[in-house]
Amino acid sequence: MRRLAGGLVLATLASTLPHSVRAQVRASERAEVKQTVDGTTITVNYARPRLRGRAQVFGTQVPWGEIWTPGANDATTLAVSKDVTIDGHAVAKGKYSVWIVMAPGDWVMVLDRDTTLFHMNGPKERPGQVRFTVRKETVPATEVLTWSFPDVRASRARLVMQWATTAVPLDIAVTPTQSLVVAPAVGRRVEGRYDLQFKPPPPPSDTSHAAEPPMPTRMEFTVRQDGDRLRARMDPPLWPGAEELVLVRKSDELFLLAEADDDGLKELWDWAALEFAFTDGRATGFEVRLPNDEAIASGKRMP
Amino acid sequence: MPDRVARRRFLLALGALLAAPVARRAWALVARRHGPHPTPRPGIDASKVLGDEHLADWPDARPAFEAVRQIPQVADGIRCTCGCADKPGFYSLLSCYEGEGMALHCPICQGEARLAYRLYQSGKSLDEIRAAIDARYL
Repeated sequence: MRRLAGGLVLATLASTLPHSVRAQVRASERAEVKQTVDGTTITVNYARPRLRGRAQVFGTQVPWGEIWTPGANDATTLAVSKDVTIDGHAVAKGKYSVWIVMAPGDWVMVLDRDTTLFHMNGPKERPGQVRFTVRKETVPATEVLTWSFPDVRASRARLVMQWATTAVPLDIAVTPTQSLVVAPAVGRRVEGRYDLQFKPPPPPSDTSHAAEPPMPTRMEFTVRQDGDRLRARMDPPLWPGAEELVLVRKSDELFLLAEADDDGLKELWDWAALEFAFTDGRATGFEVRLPNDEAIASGKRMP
Repeated sequence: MPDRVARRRFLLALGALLAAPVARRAWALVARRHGPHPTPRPGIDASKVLGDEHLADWPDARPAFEAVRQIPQVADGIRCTCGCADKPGFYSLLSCYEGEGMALHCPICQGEARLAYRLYQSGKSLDEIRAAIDARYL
């Protein structure tokens, strides 16, 4: 009875200890890395083992033939908020435990729906898993196992697992929310040269900085169909580097400007919409409107 | 980088136009923007729309409040896409202009009302107005 009472006292004390006192120092501390790509959130949660003086771990500490979670302790997890592809393989929205079938040759990545597994209890091959061979790269040594997103584009990102002198890059592609495709029949209606005039912006409220060159408030705005894209050119541009743009179709009358390259969308200017007016099926001009529908510029077709 | 500086200045200027302190927060509420437009409630009017006495600190919001007062039956048939539509007590875009007045500081609520009013004045139907708002804000 006294032992039971003592246990209860200890349990009560333990539960009232501050978190910092109860916190446990771990050899492989837990970490999380998260990246949003065009509205899709990709999250990796993992523990971070260290080399601790070992030159190499693959084939030794992590033996060939093992199904290894690239982390430590509780399995590394990968969560995607929408459907994606990883190295071209479809991965449905959801959370997965992450594993690699270790071998001297090809490594096979396994994404398993059971996210409660411990590192020593790797999953057997079973339906519902996503399995694919991954690339390996030799890189300068990394002391602590690291997952990172070294490259993020408009609709894709590169996720890399790196430890010791080995890196595994994973190319994740999301479904773009904006299409750059504009049908020629739609584009032809707005093609042409426009005299675009912006209202002068209000003076900056913070005058403590050195004055900058004034922004152009009048420019030639040219729209042309180029394959399946509708391109726009500002001369002079609102700022250097913004000469060449694309129009993203929201409706046959409404477009957003965007910066894009051959790889796809770089940045959508969703703060300004171009609202075209038409006569006999041909645009006569457009207004540039802010989200609050205030018109900040207007373009008139040039002869 | 000079281009980034110029770009920043331009966007800051736009921010001033927008009374931007909360604009980003409004834009960030994208998760629940989608949903069916509501059916206008029979007999709905603008009697609960905040009056001018509430707009003293929000002069940029005045045109939108004026617009909604003109077309409460249209505003009541529009789902606001800024993310407020699922908040308790919200029924339609009209709700953004009542009570605590979400539209006082939300450029999307304001833009939807002003766009609806422009289109209504040009003879567009409620369905056409809804389609235009969806195209612009979704």
